[in-house]
Amino acid sequence: MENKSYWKGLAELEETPEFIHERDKEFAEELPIEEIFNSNFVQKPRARRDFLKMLGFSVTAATVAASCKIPVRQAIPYIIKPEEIVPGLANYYASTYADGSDYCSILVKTRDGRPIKIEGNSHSTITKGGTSARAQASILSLYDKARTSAPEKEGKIIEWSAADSDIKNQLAAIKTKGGNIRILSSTVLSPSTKNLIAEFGTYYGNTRHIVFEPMSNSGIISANEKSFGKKLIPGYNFDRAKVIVSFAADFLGTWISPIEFTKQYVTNRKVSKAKAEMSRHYQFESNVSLTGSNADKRIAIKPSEEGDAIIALYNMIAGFAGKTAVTGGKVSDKAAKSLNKAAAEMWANKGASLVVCGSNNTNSQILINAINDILGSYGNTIDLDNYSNVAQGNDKDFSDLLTEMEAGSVDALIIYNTNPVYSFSKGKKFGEALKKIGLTISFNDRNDETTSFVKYHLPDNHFLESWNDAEVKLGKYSLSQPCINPIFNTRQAADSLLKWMDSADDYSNLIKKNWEKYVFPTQTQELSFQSFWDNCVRVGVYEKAATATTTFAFAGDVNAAASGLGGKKSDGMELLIFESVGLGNGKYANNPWLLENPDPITKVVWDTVAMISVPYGKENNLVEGDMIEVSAGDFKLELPVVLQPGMANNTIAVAVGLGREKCGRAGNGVGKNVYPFVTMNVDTMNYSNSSVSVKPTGNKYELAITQTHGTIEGRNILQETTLSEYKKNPKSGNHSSEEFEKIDGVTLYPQTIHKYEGLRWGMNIDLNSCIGCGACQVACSAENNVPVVGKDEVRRVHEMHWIRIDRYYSFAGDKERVTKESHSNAIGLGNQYDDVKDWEDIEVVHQPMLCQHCENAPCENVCPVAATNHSSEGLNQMTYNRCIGTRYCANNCPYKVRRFNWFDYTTADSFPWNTYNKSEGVAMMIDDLTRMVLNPDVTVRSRGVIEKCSFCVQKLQDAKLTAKKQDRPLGDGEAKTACQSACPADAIVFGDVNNKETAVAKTREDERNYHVLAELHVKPSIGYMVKVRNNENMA
Amino acid sequence: MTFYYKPSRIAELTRVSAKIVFLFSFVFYFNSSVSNAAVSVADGQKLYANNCRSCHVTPDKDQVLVGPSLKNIDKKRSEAWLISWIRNNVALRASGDKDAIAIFEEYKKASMTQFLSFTDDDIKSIIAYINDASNKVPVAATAPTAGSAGADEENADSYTGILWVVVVVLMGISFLIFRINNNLRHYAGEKIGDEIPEERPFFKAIFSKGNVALMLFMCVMFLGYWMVKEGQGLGRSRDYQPIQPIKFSHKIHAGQNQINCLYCHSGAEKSKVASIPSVSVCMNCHKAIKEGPITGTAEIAKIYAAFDNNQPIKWVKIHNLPDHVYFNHSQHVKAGEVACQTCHGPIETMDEVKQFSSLSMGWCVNCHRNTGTTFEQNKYYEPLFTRLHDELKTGKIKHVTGGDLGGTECQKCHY
Repeated sequence: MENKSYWKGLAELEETPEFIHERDKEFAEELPIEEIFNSNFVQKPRARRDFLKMLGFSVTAATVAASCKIPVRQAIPYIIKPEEIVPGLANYYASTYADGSDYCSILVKTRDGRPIKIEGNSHSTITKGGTSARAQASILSLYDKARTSAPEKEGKIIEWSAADSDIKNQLAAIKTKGGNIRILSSTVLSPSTKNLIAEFGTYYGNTRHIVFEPMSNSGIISANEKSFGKKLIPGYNFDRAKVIVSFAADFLGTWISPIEFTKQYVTNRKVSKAKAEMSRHYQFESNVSLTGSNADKRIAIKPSEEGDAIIALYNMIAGFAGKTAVTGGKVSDKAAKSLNKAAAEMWANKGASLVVCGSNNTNSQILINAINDILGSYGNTIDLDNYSNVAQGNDKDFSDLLTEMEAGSVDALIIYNTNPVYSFSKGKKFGEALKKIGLTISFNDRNDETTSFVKYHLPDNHFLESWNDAEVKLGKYSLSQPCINPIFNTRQAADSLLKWMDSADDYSNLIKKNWEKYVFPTQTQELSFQSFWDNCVRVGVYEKAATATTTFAFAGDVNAAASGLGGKKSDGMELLIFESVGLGNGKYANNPWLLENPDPITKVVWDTVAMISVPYGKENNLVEGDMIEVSAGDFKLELPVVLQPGMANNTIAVAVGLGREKCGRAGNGVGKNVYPFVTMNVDTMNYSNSSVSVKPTGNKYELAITQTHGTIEGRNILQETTLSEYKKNPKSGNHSSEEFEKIDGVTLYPQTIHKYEGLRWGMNIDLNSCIGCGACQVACSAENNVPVVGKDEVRRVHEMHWIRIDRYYSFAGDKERVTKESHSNAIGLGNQYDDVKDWEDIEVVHQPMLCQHCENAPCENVCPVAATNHSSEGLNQMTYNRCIGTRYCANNCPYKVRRFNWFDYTTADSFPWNTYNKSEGVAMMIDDLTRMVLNPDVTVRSRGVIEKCSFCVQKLQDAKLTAKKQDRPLGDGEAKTACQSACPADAIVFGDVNNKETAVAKTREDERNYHVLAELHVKPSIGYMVKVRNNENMA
Repeated sequence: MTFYYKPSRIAELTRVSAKIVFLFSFVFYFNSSVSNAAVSVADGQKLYANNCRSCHVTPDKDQVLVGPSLKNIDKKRSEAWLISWIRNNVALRASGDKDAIAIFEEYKKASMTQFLSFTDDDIKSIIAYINDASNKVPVAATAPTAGSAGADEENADSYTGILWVVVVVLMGISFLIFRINNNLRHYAGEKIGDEIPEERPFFKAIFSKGNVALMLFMCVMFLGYWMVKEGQGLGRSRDYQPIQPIKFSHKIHAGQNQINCLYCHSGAEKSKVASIPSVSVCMNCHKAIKEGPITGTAEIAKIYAAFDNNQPIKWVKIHNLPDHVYFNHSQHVKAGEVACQTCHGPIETMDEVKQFSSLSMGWCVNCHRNTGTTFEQNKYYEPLFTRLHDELKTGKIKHVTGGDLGGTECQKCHY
């Protein structure tokens, strides 16, 4: 199969004049050369005298500066050194990142007593060592200065003891009069906390615990109650599914347990000659989600069409099974064709297929349950016995609470780790209702939108400062342990509850007791509880074997469900609210690493955008950055648009997660809050709206988007094939390798041929596994002290990420090979693309791009000071202290991965406030507290030097040294890069390619292995695996 | 000329010294390889230094530290008793052994560390060493077995000094000869009756245009050289010897008492930093030793103050590297088996520690270029660098330097 044409953005596809102008420029930014030469200073008649004055001043200043004494530095040892700490050596503690519906079992790397990096914990069978961008970035929020530093009463600092006695008195008074106490929290994964809340309820009486999740899945819970009498979210096994159909469930990005599902999903996406099988994945959705971008076939449907699409699928499956059809199910021909194919394939793979739906609509979920029931998914790909404990939000409970509050019948409200004033559609109403309550307490970590309405603000510890436990799925326990003493005067929320119950216990003891009572008896390996406990703390998890699955009879009413679902399709504009992959529901909106982590699809940073379809944009003369006003009901919002290929027509999709007003310096006022668009649909929250109106306001807005900051100019960067082609010929789709291998060894400079007598580092990235989630980007920033530059700087193409994930689009079914001719023909097409191409039918490839550590590196021979050169282990080394900032290397790099420090982003230079501070995010590293997150093994770069991926050389050196100290050879997989260990999809393999036994050396022999821009003969150290799509005959 | 001479001279010197070091390492190698019997004095010495020395003086002296002197201990106690005492003195006391209890009482019930992992041969080796050392006359601390770069630079510097003197003398002589020649020519001219050029006064001659220009040129050259040299030296602090909060003497501890460096700087073997010992490590010995030979109780009292008041001692850091340099002690001490003194100088002779080496990049790189590594011994290298292994076998090369293994590349220290 010939290759097809790929493009990063619309401008590139259509070769707009602005794009060509930008593309042909050497630097993205205009250099002010003319300006300087025409300036007053240069044109002044007596410039010579000024020159002499300045020369004199500089010499004097230099002399004075040089005569300064070297500062006296101190070395302060411990008084009694803890046995396990060796200064300069990192310790790893197993812990758990569990926040609301996020869960990740982690290892915390601490250096000299401060946590500096999160790694995945491979002992967990849930996350299996994978992480997410949020788990990686959570370490930065430990050092967030916006966290409240002491308990407050009505905005004034108060002693803990005073707050305790105040609150205890008031609670006692409420107890005597039989008043109502409510505890409002996000999903609590900790069985000990759940226990404690229950005990608290018994202690004070009339207490209810309400769980609120802004992006709710309560439709699934109530559907399962109605279908099987089980009020829960089941466990899903994507690894057992050969055919997956997803209706807008972004299970790789945001839905229920994305890290777990990613690990499962990629097991069936990796292809080798030994296992030339892949799962089939259909995605029906309105926006382009992360999951949709990885699907073999994605079909764009409007949110209002979803109900009918589900009904149609049900009817087809019911038809196979000889059951009666339900009414409704009228869908477009295109969707019907794909649904037919999907239904047939699932029926052929009964028991090995899975249908999931991201909707919060109970009726949709009942029908999905019915389909899965007919397909025999229960007990195979869906597990109701080993259920999940995440995403336990209950919309009905929450709306009841609001009614109660407004009626004045709540006497005390305790808010724990949730922020409904921001994240609930009627947040303002909630805030007003809060004022009616006599006793309001918030445990939130900062004075956020909700907390500013409460009387007592008793800040909770950060999870890295706390003991805790979690049970993410039935019997899958994990522990959190503190890795640092509380930085501020904070106290764990559970300890506060214990204090008010007059308990002498503290929470860490309570956890231990609970584990002794409930968990320890379930195992037989350890004889004493202490050794069991010690082992659990060390490993971080304790996992019981899965409970045997039982059979459940489906008892849902499909007809009722269908009648509430079908025939909703509207022709007008529709709005879809979805959860951002990076920022989640908005809790971490003050985290600069997440703010600057590009959205996997739009590649927008630091902003909320309205994604619209390309034809809609063209019809209405909208281009990227034009502002539109979206109004639904009585709520209006002005948003910049992004023309998104693949979007369903006449649909706007906007992500939640930004628009915070009170989260801290970095996140305040960034983007827009779109939660007010969410509506209440009987008992569940509804994230789509089919009656919105849109009008362009004529305003313009400059978005910070990283996707267009580089072009491919029609080069053959991506290689892909289909599964059947691959089965016929494993080399199919791989164009570059053979063509250019024959010129190997031909050189004009034989003296520069590298020998690599020791190790030779190399990497391989599997394009089939990479889902584009962006965890690697945050991990890289954390490991390598990569600075955050802020929105303005990204607009000026100054972003600093060492690894970026390039996202390429292509028209599905486009099989033209890109040649210079065909490309210029394509240019000639211009706007005619509209006529010939289906803008909704788009395929996406995610390609991580980082320094390729070329053997014949073009950057190396242009450096005038040899600041970048080649190591004997194949690393393209960048030496900051040698770099003088000519940027010739960046200019000469074909992969555009070199980054220049235009400003002193991390304040490496000595004057603390002498930094670029135009945007608040830039100066995040100026305060001493935030600097504690910096990796002490990596130089903090100063202004004026180039930096780029080093293959995490500090980790490689460390692995080598460990082997040398232990007097043994280096094993395969001991040296890992940060991106590799963060990846939840195991897409990255790294190691010594000289040793033929290593995993990475074996990938070199694989037929799918190719090098990007092999035709340049730069001989990169990174190989990519040809993407294989299983997309034939999907309609 | 001298400027050009110096580097090559250094290179020559370092080559010579590297050869010497190499020869010495051979001697040591054979030394250790012949004495591989189960019980050996050398093993005993090593074990003694690592485990016993922090509480007992070397067996050639008769002095009480924390525990008694062990001089001629083999004559006081039976070997069997010593073995059981050293391995587990608690058990021995518990068994009711009178001698054991008596010692315990004598030393204020300060319990001796148990060495459960010692084999009989280990303990016999220690006893053999004690026996051997007891019969020797006490000697002053030996000079460091350092070698290579630091010392060479020292030599090179004194050599340069001599060269300068020679240059000045030669210049003086040539000036004299020039004057004499001039005078002679003058008198000869007078005698022959040639036209005698008008004699210019000495000062006028000196301040002729040409000379002034030459002197100016030389001034500029000198200033330039001086600026570059001083500029390079900015931030370098060789011989830096700050006043420390406690007058701690390495001479007494490491020199006279021969406490192993790693007893206090335990991080050197494991970590990036050698680490300053915590106060509790000082207390291990100073619980018992309350008075020192130089400062009496005054300085030791500061340790007690720090311990009692829970106030750490704020030592002044002597060896400072810039942020863009990565240095790892364990890489050198454990993997490279470099002696502490190679970089830190004769620390055991210093009352007050000063920065012995320049810590300049040239200094680092010279050592990486010239010094042999543990390439042959360390199994890490077994599967790697086949060519170097072959060349060592065939004798084409004598040793493998850090530079041969990529040790002079930028990203070995800068990342």
